[in-house]
Amino acid sequence: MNSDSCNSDPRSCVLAIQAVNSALDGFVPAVQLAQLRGGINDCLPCVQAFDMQIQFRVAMAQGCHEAAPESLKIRISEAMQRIDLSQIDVTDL
Amino acid sequence: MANQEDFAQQAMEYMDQLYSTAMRMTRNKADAEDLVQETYLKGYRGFAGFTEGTNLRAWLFRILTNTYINGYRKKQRRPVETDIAEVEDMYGYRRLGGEYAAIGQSAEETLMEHLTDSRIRDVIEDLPEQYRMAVLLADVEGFAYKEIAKMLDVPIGTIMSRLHRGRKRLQDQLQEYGRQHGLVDDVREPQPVGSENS
Repeated sequence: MNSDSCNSDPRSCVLAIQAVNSALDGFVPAVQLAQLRGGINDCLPCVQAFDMQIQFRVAMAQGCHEAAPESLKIRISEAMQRIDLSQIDVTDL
Repeated sequence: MANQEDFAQQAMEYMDQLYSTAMRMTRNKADAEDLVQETYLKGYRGFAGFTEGTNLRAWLFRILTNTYINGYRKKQRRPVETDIAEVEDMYGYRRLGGEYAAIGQSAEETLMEHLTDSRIRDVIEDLPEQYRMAVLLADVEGFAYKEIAKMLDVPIGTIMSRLHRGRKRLQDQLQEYGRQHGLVDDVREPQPVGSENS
C-alpha cells in the first residue's frame, strides 16, 4: 500500500474521497462501489479517510440522537384522537 | 390507499428520529416538540393520501421539513444564512480534501476521542440552515440525494453542493475546535498546480 497518496498525487485522493462520499450517500451503484473500494485499497491516506468518513457519520448519528419525551408522545396521541377525520383536507401537507 | 387507523401504529416508531432532527433544526426543545406534533397531525390527516408500500419515514420527514421551512423558520432568532454562492476550490481542503477526513489520521483519531455528543450537536447547529438540513438528512438520517431533493424541492445537484459545503464547514469547525484544545496542529494546505514558481 502506498503510504503517501494515490499515485503520489494528493489531488487523486481528493477525487477518490469525493467518490467515496457519493458512494456512501447512495449515489453510486453497488458494482461501482466495489470497484471504488478496490481502487482505494492501494492508497493508505484514502483508506484512512474512508474509515474516518464512516466513523464521523456514526459519531454524528449517535450525537444527534435524542429520544422524544414521553409527554410529547402522549400529547400527540391525544391530539390525534381529537381530530375529526370527516373534516380533513389531504392537500394540507 | 392507506388507512388512517393504521397511522399511529406505523408512524410512531419514527418519533425519536423526527424529534432529533427537529431539535437540530429549531435548536430549542419547545419548538422541536411543536414541530413534531404538527408533523404527526398533518401526517394523520393526510395519511389517506399516502401510498402504501412507499417510504413512510421519508414521507414523514418531508412533512417535517416542509412544516419547518414554511413556519418555524420564521420564528428562529438567527436569520437564515445563505452563502451557497461562496467560492471554494478543491485546494481549500487542508490535506486530503475529503470532507470529514482532512486533518491527518492520528490527529483525527485524537479529535474523535475528544468529541462529545454535545460538541457534535453544537457544530451541526452552527451550520447555516441550508447546509444543516442537507447534512442532517444525509449524514444523520441516511436519506439518499434523490429523497432529500424531493423533501426540500430542489435539484439533486443543489443537495450535493450543500452537502459538500456543509461537510467542509463541519470539518473546518472541528479542526478549529481541535486547534483550540491542542488536539491538532495546523496542516499545510496543498498548493494548486503551477503555483510552485509563482
